Amino acid sequence: MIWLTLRQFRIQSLIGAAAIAATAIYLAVLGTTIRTVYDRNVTDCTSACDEGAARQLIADQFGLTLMLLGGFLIAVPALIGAFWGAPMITRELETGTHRLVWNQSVTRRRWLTIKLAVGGGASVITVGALSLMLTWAAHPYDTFVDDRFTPLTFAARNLAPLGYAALAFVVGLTVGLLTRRTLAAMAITLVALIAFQVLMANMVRPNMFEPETDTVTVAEAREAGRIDMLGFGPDGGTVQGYTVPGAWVLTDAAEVVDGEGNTISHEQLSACESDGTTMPDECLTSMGAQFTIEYQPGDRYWTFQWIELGLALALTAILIGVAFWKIPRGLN
Amino acid sequence: MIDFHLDPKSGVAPYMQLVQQVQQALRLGMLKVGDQLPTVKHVVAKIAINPNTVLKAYRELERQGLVAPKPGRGTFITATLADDSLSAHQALRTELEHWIAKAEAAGLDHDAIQALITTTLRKTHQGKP
Amino acid sequence: MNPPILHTKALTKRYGHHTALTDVTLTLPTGSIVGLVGPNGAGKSTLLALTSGLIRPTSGTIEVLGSPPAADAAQLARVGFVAQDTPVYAALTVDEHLRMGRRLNPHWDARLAADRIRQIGLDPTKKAGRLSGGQKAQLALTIAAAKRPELLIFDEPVAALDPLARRAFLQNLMEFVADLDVSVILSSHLLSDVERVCDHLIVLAESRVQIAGDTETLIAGHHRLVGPRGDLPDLPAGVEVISADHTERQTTLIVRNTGPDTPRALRETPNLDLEDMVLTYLHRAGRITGETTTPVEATR
Repeated sequence: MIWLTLRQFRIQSLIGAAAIAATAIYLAVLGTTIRTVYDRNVTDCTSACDEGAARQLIADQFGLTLMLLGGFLIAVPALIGAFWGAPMITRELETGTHRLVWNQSVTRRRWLTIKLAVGGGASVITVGALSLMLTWAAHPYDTFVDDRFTPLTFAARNLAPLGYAALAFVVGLTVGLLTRRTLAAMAITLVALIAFQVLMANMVRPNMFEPETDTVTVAEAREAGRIDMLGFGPDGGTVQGYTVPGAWVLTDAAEVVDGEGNTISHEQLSACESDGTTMPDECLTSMGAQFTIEYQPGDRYWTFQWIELGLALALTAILIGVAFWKIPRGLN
Repeated sequence: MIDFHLDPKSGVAPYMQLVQQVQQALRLGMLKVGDQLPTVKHVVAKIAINPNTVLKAYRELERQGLVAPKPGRGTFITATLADDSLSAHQALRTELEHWIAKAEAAGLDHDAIQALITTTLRKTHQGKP
Repeated sequence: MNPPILHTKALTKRYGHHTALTDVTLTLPTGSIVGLVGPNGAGKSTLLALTSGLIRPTSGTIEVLGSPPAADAAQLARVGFVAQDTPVYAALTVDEHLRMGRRLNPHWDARLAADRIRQIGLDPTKKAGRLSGGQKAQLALTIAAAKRPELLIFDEPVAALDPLARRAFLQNLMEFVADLDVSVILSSHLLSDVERVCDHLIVLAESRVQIAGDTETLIAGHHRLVGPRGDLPDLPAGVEVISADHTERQTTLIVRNTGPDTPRALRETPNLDLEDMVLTYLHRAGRITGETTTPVEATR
């Protein structure tokens, strides 16, 4: 049975192996480049070293690439679910070959077990290899820029992708078993997996633990160079893209208030500015401007990774249960 | 060795067709004592019929005392239906051919000739029960 | 005593509101070659799918060789099933199919399989997707037979084949039967094939078994009585009228004698041939339900 399943899976595994190989070459080059740039600007820096500037430089140079790679790694499980998982059973049903193989001396449960083991194993290995390589390549970036907790990075490093891979394959297979049509199964699988990622990143993961809150003065934040954008409108000021080293900041836009917690209006700021020659930041500092953010601290990273893996595997187990419940009942 | 055939339109049970074909071959001297009948496997592979049908036909022939199975070797003819009349066949056939030629000359077709022979045969037999 | 190859009690299969099989109670003796005939949609495939364990009954019981169908690997090994359209893996070669058979079946007869493939003249390196319909059927038959089952089931094995391929398939099948001492159930709408190879008959129409039994016994039990209208002899007990056709002057009865001896009244009447007998039951089934039955194709 294992031989047959591997034989049927030959083309898919060749494609998978080719994808891993191509990605490996690319990531080896990228990883080396990141290390070179990192060494040149940080480790081997002897004069006029500015860590903030170096961080900015590395973030600018590799941030987008790594973000796209993260997106790719999140997309791979969905593709696996659609192209490996969904056809695994529907192709047999559509060509009628299930009636051939189910009448060999192998029970349907065993047939399904082997299909799950081979396909699921291949999915986890493929995604695991990609995750491992990307985690390695991005390591200097992740530790230096220290932003590995944000959704796109979190889901594309370390353990989390393994769970997605298993889940994606099993979603594809089980949906295929229920719909019995390849195209429908592929479409449903893709939608389900995208919905899963969106739900996890926006609804589930942020609320898994009570976030911590922190009040930061604009002056401190400016000093550390961790504000992406500070803007003032008619309704007051907001801070956007504030980052805490290693942590996942949940607040997208934080309202800027003065030392007493009152909204700083545009007029106040204008008044301060026109008062003398002071810069806006000095005005804000003088007003004691501050903002409050919610975040998941960096030391929760591994807890979250394990929980993410556990959740995906639990869902996987439930779907496997559905498949095993369905298969001996015949496909009436 | 003889070859069997099956006529699905004859209305005769398949096993009986095989029996009749062996009897016919024996009457015409095509099979002699000691000859072997085709194996069951050979027959079913040749004319695609149920092996049980062949077995049944051979059992029937055995019951009639015409054949006997030799374990491990096959089924062999043990008696013949051809009697002294066999030598007379040739002369009779020639006469019959003459008669058929006359019948055709008189305008009888194949079916009419067959019907005439059948009814005459039946009447002749009814005359002497 | 061997358990019957198939034993069902009140077997029923429904798909939603549609009833595919109604109240089928059957016992088929070991060693039979059973022909399952009936029009399309009569429930032949459903009965065979239930027998092979591909689907489960809605109600009633079914036992194949004394056990529930497809219950475990050992039971699967005892039954060979060739589904309609004889599915094979298009991407796998003939050789790979045999390899699959060897790996998936504990009693696989590799020599039988190899010999048969050679005899049929299949190229072992050819992909099954490139075989002709007849060759695919032969390959599927070889896989089913080489697992050395006690029962072989075929769902319309020859329906899609040309006459030559059909005959070749049946020859091959009968050779297997002669070689392997195996029972067979096959469905077909070609009565001539059924008559040729089957010694047991099941007529299925309108989801019900119309008649079942040993072919020769059935034929010997059915008679056609023709007489002037309204002037037919009184029928003795144990003789059932299956159909009555009246013209202005004539009445034709098809009767079935279920008694052990043929009553005097029927002795001089001819028996029906298999085709007429089957058609009589199919017409009757169609009349009872008020639906038009597609007559069984009688290709000869």
